Amino acid sequence: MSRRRRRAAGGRTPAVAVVVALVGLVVFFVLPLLGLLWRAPWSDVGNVLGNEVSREALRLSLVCSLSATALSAVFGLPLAWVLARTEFRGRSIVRALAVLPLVLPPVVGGVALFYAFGRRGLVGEWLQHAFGWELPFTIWAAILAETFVAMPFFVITVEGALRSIDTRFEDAAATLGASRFTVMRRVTLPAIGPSIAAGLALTWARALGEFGATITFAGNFQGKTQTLPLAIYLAFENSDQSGIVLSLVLVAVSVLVLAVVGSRVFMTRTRVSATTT
Amino acid sequence: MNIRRKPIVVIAIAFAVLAAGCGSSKSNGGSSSPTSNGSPSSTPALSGTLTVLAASSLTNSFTDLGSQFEAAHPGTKVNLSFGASSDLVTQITQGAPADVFASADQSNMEKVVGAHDNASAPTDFAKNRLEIAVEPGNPKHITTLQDLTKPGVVVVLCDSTVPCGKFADQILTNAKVTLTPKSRELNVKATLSKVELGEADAAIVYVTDVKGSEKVAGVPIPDAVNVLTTLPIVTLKDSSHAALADAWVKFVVANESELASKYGFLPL
Repeated sequence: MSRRRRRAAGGRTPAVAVVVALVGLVVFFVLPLLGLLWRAPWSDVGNVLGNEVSREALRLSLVCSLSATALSAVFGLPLAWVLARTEFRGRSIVRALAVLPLVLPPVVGGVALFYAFGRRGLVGEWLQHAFGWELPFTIWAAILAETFVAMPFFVITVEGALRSIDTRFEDAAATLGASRFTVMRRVTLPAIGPSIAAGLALTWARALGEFGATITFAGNFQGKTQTLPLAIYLAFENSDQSGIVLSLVLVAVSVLVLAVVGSRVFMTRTRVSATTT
Repeated sequence: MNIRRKPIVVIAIAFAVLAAGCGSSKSNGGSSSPTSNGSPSSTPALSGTLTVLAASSLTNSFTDLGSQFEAAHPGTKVNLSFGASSDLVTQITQGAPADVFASADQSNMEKVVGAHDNASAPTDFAKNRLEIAVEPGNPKHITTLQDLTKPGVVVVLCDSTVPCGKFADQILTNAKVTLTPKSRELNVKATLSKVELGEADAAIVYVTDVKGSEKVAGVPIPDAVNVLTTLPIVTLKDSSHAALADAWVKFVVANESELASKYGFLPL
């Protein structure tokens, strides 16, 4: 824990909150991680990191999760905007649809993607006839599955931010003659910058850990669709301990990235200029 | 943070809460049924809940057998959990509470025996063979293993880490056929479902899986290259219902002919 010299905003934290927080931290985060560290076969780390299966799985995981995050941003930001700022009938239904992947059991998500984009799917059949595209069992299927599961995190986070910011700044800018696009670019997006970053981080983390929908829709083929969570699962199937090392790699990668994003964005209350690309 | 003035107190309380939590969870961990492990089977009044871990390939047959067993012994309940045999072994060796384990192959059973998690010697109860599952009507005209390598034929196999995948590799090696599957699935039911969904043209699964599915047709694999597997079943050491577990194993073994006639297993 870094000792922050600045006093945190909002005064004193009640002791009871600190106690509960500590218990929660230990039970839900520290102990499981300690369990992994405790059982990790440290002598095997070199072998595991050196072998082709792990390296390809890590590469695929990074490529797919970053692509899924980018797609979530491209489609999720306008969607969040529409949900937060426009009044239309059936908006609550659209919002429910946008969070549907959060509640679908993973395999159901995968099967739903089959019914949409598979060889017999609503769109998939047509894609195959028109362009010869077959999505299932390809890297595109893995990216699609991860986007499907992770995008709701981005939409919810950004929509919440858009609802909570003070709109008077935007009104003022508009009054001063800024176009709607300029207001969005120069006022709104900078204001919700931290939330966008938080949403991206959450989305990316969720995509990185995605397992169920991916294994169903994209299958499992080394070097093509075998992401790190799949490789980890199969390592455990083989009752070999390399799964633990791979899990720790996954944890390390995500903690590293989230810590960097967190330290830059969540803690500083300075306005970051919107860099969402 | 002002709380830092009393860190000792806070941490002490936190640990006290944690310790209380751990303590209470231990006390209700034991089973409430006081049946001793060495209870002789002279008392036929069986009762309680039995947890059976079984290979995915046993899904249909064991589900039916479970209902039959419950009907034959009122007061009993059979909880079935299906998965890849290798997955179930992991659960058992990690101390998952279960009474019986039925494996799709011998090597996973050997892992359980090797870890001394079994209560008795394993018993073989059925044999199984593999088959090519294709879409009904066999639109891709697959008649041999060699046909699986034709361009435009999407094939999925079980992963090499699970029995059905290991056997598929063995069969392809025997037949000197080299093919690149689109996917290596985590268990036999997932492999079969890809053909059922129409997303794959063919899969190598057990004869019993094909027989148990209305959405696929089977293409036999010649005996010369096929694998004949023997399925073992065993009672587990940590079982809290030893008598019930023994009764279930006897019941399964006694149903050998039904497993063959109704589900497509082969008699021993």
